[in-house]
Amino acid sequence: MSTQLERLRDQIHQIEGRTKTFAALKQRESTIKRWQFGDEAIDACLPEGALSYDSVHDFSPDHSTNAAFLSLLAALLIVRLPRKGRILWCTTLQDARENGVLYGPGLRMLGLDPGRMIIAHLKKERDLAFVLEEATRAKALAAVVGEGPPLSFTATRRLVLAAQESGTPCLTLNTGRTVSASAATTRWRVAPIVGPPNPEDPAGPGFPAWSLTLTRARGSAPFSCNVCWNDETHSFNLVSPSRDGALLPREAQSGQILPYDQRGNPQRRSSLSTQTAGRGGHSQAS
Amino acid sequence: MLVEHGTRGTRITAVNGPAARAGAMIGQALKDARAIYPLLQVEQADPDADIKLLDRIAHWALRYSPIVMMDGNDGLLIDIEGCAHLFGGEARLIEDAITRLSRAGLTAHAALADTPGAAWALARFGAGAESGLISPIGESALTARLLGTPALRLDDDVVLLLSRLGLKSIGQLQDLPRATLERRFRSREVARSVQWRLDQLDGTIREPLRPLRPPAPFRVTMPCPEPALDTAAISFALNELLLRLQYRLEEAGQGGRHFHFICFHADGGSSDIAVRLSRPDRQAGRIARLFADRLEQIDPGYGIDAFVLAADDVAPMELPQKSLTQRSDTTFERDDDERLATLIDTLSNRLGTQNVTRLAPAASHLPERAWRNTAPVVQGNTVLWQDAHEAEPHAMPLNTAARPLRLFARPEAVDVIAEVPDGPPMRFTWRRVARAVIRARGPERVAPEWWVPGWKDNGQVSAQTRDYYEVEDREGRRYWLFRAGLYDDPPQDQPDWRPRWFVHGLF
Repeated sequence: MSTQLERLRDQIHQIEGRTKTFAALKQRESTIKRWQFGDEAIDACLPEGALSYDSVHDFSPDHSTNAAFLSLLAALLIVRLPRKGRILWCTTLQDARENGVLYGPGLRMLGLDPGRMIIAHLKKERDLAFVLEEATRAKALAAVVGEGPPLSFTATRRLVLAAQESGTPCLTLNTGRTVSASAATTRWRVAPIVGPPNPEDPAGPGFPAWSLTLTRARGSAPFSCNVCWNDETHSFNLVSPSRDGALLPREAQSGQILPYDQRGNPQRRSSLSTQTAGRGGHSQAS
Repeated sequence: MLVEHGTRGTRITAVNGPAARAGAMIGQALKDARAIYPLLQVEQADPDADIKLLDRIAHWALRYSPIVMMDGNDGLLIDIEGCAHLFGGEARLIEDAITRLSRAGLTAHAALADTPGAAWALARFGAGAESGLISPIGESALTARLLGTPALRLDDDVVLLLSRLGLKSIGQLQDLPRATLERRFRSREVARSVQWRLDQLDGTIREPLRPLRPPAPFRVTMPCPEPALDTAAISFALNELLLRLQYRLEEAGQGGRHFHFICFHADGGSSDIAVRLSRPDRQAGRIARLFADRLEQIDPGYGIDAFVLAADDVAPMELPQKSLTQRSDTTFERDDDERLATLIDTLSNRLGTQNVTRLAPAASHLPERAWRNTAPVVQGNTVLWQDAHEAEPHAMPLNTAARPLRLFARPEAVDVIAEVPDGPPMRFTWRRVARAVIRARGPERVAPEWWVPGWKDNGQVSAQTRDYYEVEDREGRRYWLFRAGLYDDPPQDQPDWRPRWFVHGLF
């Protein structure tokens, strides 16, 4: 019965001129559409096993002088975003002066076509909330990125509602000197760390790496981990610190995911790492 | 009375009615005028302010017609062809203009004629121009016959020459055969100029006006019976006009990219707002939304008594047919495009067009010139960099060397300590913080554009060879540094010159 139905559906697809069969499309929808870090251990800790599309993800630097280094993480997350379409990147003119402007050839090095980017420069910081909300609500973009000082709680709440309505993810990068209350779905604290060396060129800069802390998320426990970007697989990998402060790639030693207590320090209890993973897996199933 | 100090003493440049009756004349020396009537009130003339006022009046006069031209520093030429019926006929239009100007405290002379030349002559020299002079259609040249030769807009010495020849009125000149007219002058140019002006007067030579701004092909106006005093009334008028404009654009199958909304104030002057669109559109609702947060920029003042909405930059616009039943992939894309266009318009009107951009590749190997900002295009697929490279592999080389994610518009100078002069930095100080380099890759040498003429004068840094290094500091922050200049190639006049280091970008 079901095979007959599928055959009929395939026929319809052929009539419609689509190349892929119905089954293939169905499969594609179920597998590709998740927005993940690409490392099973990290993804398992995320609410529902992935970053959700219809929400706001807020990133703050560990120190305001490191704000410029947030943009690489945001850009790489967008590389991981399995969606076509344009990306709006809003930045204030002050940040553009302070941290530089987004550079096309650099985006291209990451595997993100700069032609997809629409850049909005804001003269006034107070335009940020308006622009982000308008763009998130428009249902015209693959993602929205906003750099600037933290938005007010009301503005973030409105932004979350807009994202839920349209299904467009919005990443906010905090370049201000303060951190304020936010209604963002997930909140991350990001610090650049020394990444594992490039095996082909040990003297040169290694893989870009960060210490990521999920400080708040609906439906999942906060955690902390060190990740690096693997340019070959286009995915994030867990890394772990070694004795001399440098990091080793995951193959050498498995990285750890540490639960994060609200006072701000990762608890160093390795046994919890499996627990968190288990919980994540459970919520994914339900 | 206004005066101006010149080489020939203080001269009168303008007089009002009472002063003229007292005997003051334009061009007269101030002391002569004072001798006749000592109580004259004298003010310094301010030609710049005159021009500014005239400009304001000219913009105000756009209420009558889209074609308004400033004439010298004291006149306006308005082409009211096809506009008069909007104001209830030519007589009513002229009367309206004169009463409004006199209410604003200005004395105006007006005349309406077949040609700009005739109107100019009648307004300045015709009897009764204070209350508006209208010459019957086709008889402007006849009406102007009685006027003196100065009404021909000729140079002063030509007028003088004509009066010496006994030619005092335009009629006399018109009656002369052209050949004899030419023979009376010593130089051919002068004869030509007189003939030229005569031809302009009777319309043999067309005299096009140069309007303040090019007239919009689609324009709708709305006079108000009562002056509009608040934003609600203005927005009502705007919506009404947008609907009318939409109807007219629809009829023509066109869409506009630039919409200009002008409000004419009851006390003279006008204020205007404009929105730009990324692609032609005519949908009243969408355009009204773009105007919405600009409306408060209009200050109604003592009230607004007329509105004009014009569509510029008009292009044919085909309506995409929406499929009725099937939602195929293409309609999805088209919907997306439409929403994106709307979004881009909203953002560029709020932030300014130059602030909403797209990154486009540029054919240069200098990092700061390898890209440029252009207007975001929404048509179908994006211009992808990959495609640009494939189309022109020579102009757009596929660079595989590392490039930073963020580039400073102006490289920032840093203090660097390097192990060997030509080597990568060991530590450097940027923004007052010392940073220890643990890993570095490089150099990547970028030569200046020596084939461009004048490359050496092109600022110091871009005329020097640069060695780029990608470095990582002890805290995992990654920078793109370069050394400008070569140790073995110092500038000729500075033997103790050393290369300098800059941060150009961040990864």
